[in-house]
Amino acid sequence: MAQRKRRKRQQPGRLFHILILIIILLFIFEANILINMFKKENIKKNIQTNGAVTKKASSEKELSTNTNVPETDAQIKAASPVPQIPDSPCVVHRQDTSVDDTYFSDAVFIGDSRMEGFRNQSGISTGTFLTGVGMDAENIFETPFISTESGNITVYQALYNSDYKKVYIMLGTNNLGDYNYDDFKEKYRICLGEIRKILPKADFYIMEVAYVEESKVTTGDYVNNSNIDKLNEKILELCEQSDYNYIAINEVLSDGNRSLIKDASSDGVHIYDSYCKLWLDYLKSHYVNTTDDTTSDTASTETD
Amino acid sequence: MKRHISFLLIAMLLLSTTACKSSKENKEVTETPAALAEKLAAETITTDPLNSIAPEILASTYFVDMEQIEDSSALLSNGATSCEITVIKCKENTYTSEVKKLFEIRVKNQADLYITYNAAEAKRLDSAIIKISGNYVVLCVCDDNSKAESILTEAGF
Repeated sequence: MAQRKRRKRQQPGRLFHILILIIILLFIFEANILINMFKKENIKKNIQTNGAVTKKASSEKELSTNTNVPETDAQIKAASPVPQIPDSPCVVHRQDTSVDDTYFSDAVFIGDSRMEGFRNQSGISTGTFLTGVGMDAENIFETPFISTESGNITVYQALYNSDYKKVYIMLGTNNLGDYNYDDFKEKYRICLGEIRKILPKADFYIMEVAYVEESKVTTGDYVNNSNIDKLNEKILELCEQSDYNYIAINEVLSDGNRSLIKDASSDGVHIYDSYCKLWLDYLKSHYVNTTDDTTSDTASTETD
Repeated sequence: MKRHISFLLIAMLLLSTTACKSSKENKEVTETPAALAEKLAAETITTDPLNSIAPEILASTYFVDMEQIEDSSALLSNGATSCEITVIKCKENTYTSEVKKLFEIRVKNQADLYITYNAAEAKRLDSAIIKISGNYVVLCVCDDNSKAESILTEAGF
């Protein structure tokens, strides 16, 4: 009897082991699926919490259409200070009506990495951008900054045979280390003169160099607001002498104390998206009135 | 006999789990370009805030034919670094190799420019990730390439 009982216990034992094995394998398989599910949930949560970092183009569009309502912290911060605007006939003043993005469809924007950042962060949807990191008033002639399908070319090669009606340009940040700002002015005069030869009928908007947040700048002591003021004086002189429009962009990017608005930039130089949007809104409301119908066609009905 | 059956069962179980694994490796990308780009930006970029650019600017940056693109998302830098993430879903997978080529040109042009200006950024561009899966093409220039690779594998690349 005892032997029978032992046999009976041994036979279901094997099946039991096989079943255990199957259950373990199934459990491992299911656990793997569950772990993956939790990973996906965590990723979703991360995206939700980081949503503020990468905003969608749709929200940008909303901002650009409501140019007068301070919706972001950046707009509220920039609205409070009253920075000095140079007293000169070539300074472009605020118009009663703002234009929309289509106004820039026949415009070319030329500049360094800060202008490139403006293109990438402002939400602008029209215009041609001839920008490149490290561009200055001297190397613009010979350095191939502009990307094409067949390699990089110079700004002048990119402008060749073009018919832009507006030229927006901001150079100078990469010239701050030159110190001889009269020399910079001469180089900039030649640079602009060459562009004017290619585009004789275009309206030229020369943007002053935007201020920096000095405490964050690591690229060199010469990148400071005192030097930017000196450089901008030369740019203003150049505009007065050669009849270019001067865009006083620091009116909206300055903290009112000759510095970039605090925390408007990660490295003190390159500007965050919400401030680039302010910059874009500024350009939309600061233009010269021409007899061209384009201006009236693209001007929105909003009043400032 | 029972031993044979148990071996057979184990073999079947092992085969079924292997089949599941291989089907997972070949899975199609189902996430939207915007969701995938945002996930990559959130988890692989710490040095630079990226922002979504308008489709018109995307077209002029990469020279892609928007007529051949079903959906896209490009997150670009504020100029401080060379980081960028772009995900394009083509209407037909025949256009993906062209987009990949255009991404390679973009990276080379950027690297050529950065090499004299900022060597660290040029190095970052040298390790840019460009991948195709189905109708999707992704370009990722980021701070954490191994994390990006893992996200892309998980997404079906």
